Amino acid sequence: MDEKRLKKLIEILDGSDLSEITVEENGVRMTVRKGPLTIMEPAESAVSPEAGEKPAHEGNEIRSPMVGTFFLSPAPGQEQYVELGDTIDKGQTVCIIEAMKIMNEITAEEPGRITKILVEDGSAVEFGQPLFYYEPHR
Amino acid sequence: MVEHHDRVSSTQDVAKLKARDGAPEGTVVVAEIQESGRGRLARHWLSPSGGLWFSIVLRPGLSIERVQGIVLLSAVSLARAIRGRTGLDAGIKWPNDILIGWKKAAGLLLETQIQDGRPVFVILGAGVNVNNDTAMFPPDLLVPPTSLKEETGRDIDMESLLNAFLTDFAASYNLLKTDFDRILEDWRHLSVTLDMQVKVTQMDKVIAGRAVDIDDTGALLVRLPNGNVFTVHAGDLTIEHIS
Repeated sequence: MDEKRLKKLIEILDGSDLSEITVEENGVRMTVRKGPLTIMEPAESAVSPEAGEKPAHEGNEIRSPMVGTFFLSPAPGQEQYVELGDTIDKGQTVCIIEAMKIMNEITAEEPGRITKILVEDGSAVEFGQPLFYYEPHR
Repeated sequence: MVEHHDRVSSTQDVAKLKARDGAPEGTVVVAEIQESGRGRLARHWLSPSGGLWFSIVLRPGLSIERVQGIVLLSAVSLARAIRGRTGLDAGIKWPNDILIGWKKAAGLLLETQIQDGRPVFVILGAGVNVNNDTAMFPPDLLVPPTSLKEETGRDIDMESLLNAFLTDFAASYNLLKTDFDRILEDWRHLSVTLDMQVKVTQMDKVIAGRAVDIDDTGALLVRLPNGNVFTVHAGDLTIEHIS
């Protein structure tokens, strides 16, 4: 991880309500916390020599296009946009991310099937953070 | 193009369906009554006859960050329209509630659809308590409600209020591309939030301090008692004031 990316990470953290961000890449895990502490340590999961290789089950990712709060349903207690195992169409809403009081409906970029929901309802998400894994239909 | 309806579920839902079907920018949906008007997180927004309930389809063709400016811009336009039509001292509670004498007279709701990382359309919804009676509203609202009629003691013409808003908003809309700083300045000028003690309730914490400014994305900067400045992107805000 180079200095530029580290700076970007600190910038994201500074501009957010979060207290820390952890990024794992090529077997190196970096945690940036608010305060004076920055730690670089080998990732425990860095067993594969194939840098960046994903475990087979993960499939493709739907990532967050913004910093905000993640919601699985239009309102607390209402039916979720998608459930584990659901088939999704291109353009279908999969979740909402609220930022600056705007409710942003995030839509699927291609058809597929949801294989994992990675974020808990109501939690803060970062730009680029994976939200769902899905198996694309080709 | 302004479409009038007697009764809808919510103007936001009607406008969103129209946007999905390709409705052009500037399509306005107005309703006399909303049966399930809503605010943020689908919170119920009482919308009886006598209020101004409408939604607009926007296709700004801007990045997500710039679209956030519509939150500030729409609040500025609505505060100015209310001031212009009523003479009342309408101010903005961060980011986009309209208060008159610390009571809420209007709220705005923005919803977007994001495709491939960009907003395809934005639906701007507004609810203004104009001539409706807010005494029937539930007593447990975060901010006590009021209406323009209750504040002025007279009936306010809703058509001319809507036109005043649409005219101001249309004129200011281009500033998103040309002069974003001007939007921030106008917002600061009409804010009743800055320099006040505020409390922001988020999912897992409460932030209390003095609201000092907004940053260039519109996020609220709150100075904590220990001197640190906290950037607030979300949460329910209350202003501590002497009533």
